[in-house]
Amino acid sequence: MTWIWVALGAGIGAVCRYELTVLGKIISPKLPFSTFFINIAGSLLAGFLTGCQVQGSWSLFLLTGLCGGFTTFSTFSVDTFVLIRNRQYLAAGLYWCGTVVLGMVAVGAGLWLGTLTV
Amino acid sequence: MFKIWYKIGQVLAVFGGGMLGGLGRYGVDQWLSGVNSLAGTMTVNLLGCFLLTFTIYGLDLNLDLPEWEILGIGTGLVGAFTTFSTFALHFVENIVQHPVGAVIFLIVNLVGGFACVFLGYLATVQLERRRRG
Repeated sequence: MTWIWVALGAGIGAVCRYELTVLGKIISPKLPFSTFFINIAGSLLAGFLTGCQVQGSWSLFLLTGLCGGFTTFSTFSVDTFVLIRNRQYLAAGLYWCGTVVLGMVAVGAGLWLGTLTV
Repeated sequence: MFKIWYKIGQVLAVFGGGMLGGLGRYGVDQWLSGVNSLAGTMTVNLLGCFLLTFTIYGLDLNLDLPEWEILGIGTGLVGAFTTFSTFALHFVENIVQHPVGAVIFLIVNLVGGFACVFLGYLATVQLERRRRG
């Protein structure tokens, strides 16, 4: 029955992502700020949970489910593609590099913060 | 009143799709974990990039799907199937001990993901052309 935790977490994560995306479209209709924020916040949380050494069902629910369902690699890639197609090359470059670099930094910061709690 | 039910329907579509997407990712990860711990994440991300382009460009154009189906499949299912957090986590966890493997993992995800988006786009254009005859 472990899979139920993954499913629940992923469902909740996807709904949170959807709500934030709707909000982001109101604030900035042209640029994918919400996906940028979602992926970095999710990376920070994933690093933190790993640093805390969450185990078993909690790990499946929060890490595999929630963080995995909340963050998205496909939307990130498609967003970049759409920006390039719209000839917003600077925005595409900043978005692409920014997400990758800040995502890695967020994981590192999360891991560090998590180890402080152990 | 109608607006509230409409909103609930949208959220349920994303939730249901998200559950299936997360399960699919977990399944692929379990299935490929014997090969390499990084293989699962790579597979779901590349496959998801192709599928998302296909659902947002292709399915909508060809089948004229209602909004909740697009939300359920695109935002929910494919969005939750792929993952950025695990991708970033795997890279950071491996960069010190296995730098070469971690960099290959990074490049395959980023460049491959982009190539898969492009492939999905080309497939959509082809489908559209065939449909119009």
